[in-house]
Amino acid sequence: MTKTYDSLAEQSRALAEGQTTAVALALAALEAAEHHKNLNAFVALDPNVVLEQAKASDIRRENNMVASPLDGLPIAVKDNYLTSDYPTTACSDARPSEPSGVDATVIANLRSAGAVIFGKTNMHEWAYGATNTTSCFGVTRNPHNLEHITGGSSGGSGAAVAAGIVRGALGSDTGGSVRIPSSACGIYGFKPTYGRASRYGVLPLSWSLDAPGPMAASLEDLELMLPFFLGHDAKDAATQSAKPFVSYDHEGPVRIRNLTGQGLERSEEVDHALAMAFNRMAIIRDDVVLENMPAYFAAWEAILHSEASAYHQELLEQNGAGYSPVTQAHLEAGRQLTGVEVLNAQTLRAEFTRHLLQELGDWDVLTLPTLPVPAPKHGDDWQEFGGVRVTTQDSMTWFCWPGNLAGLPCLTVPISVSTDGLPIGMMFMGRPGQDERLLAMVKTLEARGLKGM
Amino acid sequence: MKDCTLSDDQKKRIQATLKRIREGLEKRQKPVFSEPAHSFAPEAYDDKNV
Repeated sequence: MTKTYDSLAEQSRALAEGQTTAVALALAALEAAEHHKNLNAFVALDPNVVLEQAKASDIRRENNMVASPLDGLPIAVKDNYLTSDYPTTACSDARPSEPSGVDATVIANLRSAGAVIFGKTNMHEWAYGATNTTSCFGVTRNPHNLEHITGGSSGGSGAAVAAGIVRGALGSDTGGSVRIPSSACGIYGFKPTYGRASRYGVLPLSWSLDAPGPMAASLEDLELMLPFFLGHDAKDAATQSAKPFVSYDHEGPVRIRNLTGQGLERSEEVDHALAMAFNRMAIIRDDVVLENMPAYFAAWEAILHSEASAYHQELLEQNGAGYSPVTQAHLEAGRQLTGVEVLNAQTLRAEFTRHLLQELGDWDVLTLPTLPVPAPKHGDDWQEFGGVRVTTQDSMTWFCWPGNLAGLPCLTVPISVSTDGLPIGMMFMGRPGQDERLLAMVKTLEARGLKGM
Repeated sequence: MKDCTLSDDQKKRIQATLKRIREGLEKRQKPVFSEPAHSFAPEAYDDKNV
C-alpha cells in the first residue's frame, strides 16, 4: 500500500516539504477505501472526481498558489451535505428533493481552501438515529471490530477516519451525531456552538439543534478544519453574529466540572476510564449532580421530532414508503405533538441552558463520558449500565443531547480502550461562542496525560 | 400518511415516544414569567456575555 500519514497535519507538512503530492495522497486514500470496503463507510466515491481535484491541487502547488494548509488533502463528507459532484441521498430511499449541483457552504469553503472532496459517507437514514444501522446502503462496521456498530449518525465518516482511509471528515450533530461515532471509533469530533457554523446545504434533522462539525485524527487536525466551519454565512440566518475562527492558546490550569446524576449513568468500565484520566491529569475538579434530566431530555426529544416532522411533511406524503419504519414512527410522533407541548419544550430548553451555564459558572469546562458504553455489537438492541436498561439508540445519545439543547461547543477525545479493545471517549463542553478556547484547553489537557492509550 | 399504513409496532413506538415526552414535560417547573425562546441563541443565557 502507498505511504499514508497519521494526520491531516502530517499530510499537510509532507506536501509542503515536497515529500508527497496531492495525487499520491488521493491514490493512497482510494487504495485504502478499496481495502476497507467491508466497513461500508462510503456510499459514493468516484476516483476520477477525486483525482481531478488532486491534480488541480498539485498544479497550484507547482505555481506557488497553495490555497491553505488543507490544499490537496482528502476530506470525506457525510451524505447529508449537498455536493455539486456527488448525489446527496441522506442514505434514504425517500430521496431528498433539494437541488443537485449545489455545494453546502462548508463544502464551498473547503473547495476554496483546496481540499479534495473525497467521497460521500454512509449515515443513519436522514441523520435520524445514533447507530448507523438504518441506511438504504446497509450498516456501517466499526474498524476496531467489524461485529460492532460505529455509532451514528455520521458513522461512515467515523469509520473512514478511524481506518485511516482519510484523516478528516465532515459530520453533522443534532444529538451527538458527530461525537457518538467519533467516540465509538476512537477519533476526535467537534460540535461547534449552535449558530457559529453554517447549516446551509446540510439537510436538516432539527434546525434549532443541528450543527455541522469536523471529525479527525487529532486535535491539531480539528484546528486545521474548524476555520472552514465557523463564521457568518449570509445563507444561514442563525450565523448572523457568528465570528470567524481565531487561533487561541490556553495557558494556566483548566478547571473541570464533571457532571453526574440521574440520567447520566455509565458503565463501570467507562467510569473507571474517566477516573483514570482525571488522575493522570491531576487537575482541579468538582463533581456536580444535574437535576431534572428526564424533563430536559423530553424537551430535546419534543423539539427534535416536531422540527423533523415539519421538515419531512411534504416528502413523507409523497413517498412515505421510502422511509424506514422507525423513521416513519418518529415523524408521526412529532406530528402528533401539540403546539403548546412544543412551546413548553422551548421553555424548558431556555431553563436548561441557564441551568447548565450556571453550573459552568467560573469553571472552564464541563465533562462527561461521550458514551455510557463502548460501541455495542450489531444486533444488541438493549444496553444495561449503572442500574438502568435502555435501548442502544438511547444509550448512544445519553450524554450528547445536552450539548445540542443548550447549544454549547462540544469536543470528544479518545482517552482509553475497553477490555474488548474498543475505544472510550471523553466529552468536554465549553462556553457558547468560545469554541477556540475549548479546543485550546483540551489541547492543554492532552499534553497533561488525558489519553491513557 | 399516504402510501403507508402504520404497523402495530410503529403505533407502539409512537405511543411510547409521546408518553415519554409528555411525562417529561409535565415535570417542568412552571415559572410565571418564563417565555419560550423565539429564536435560539445560547449566548443570550450566558451572564458573561451580557
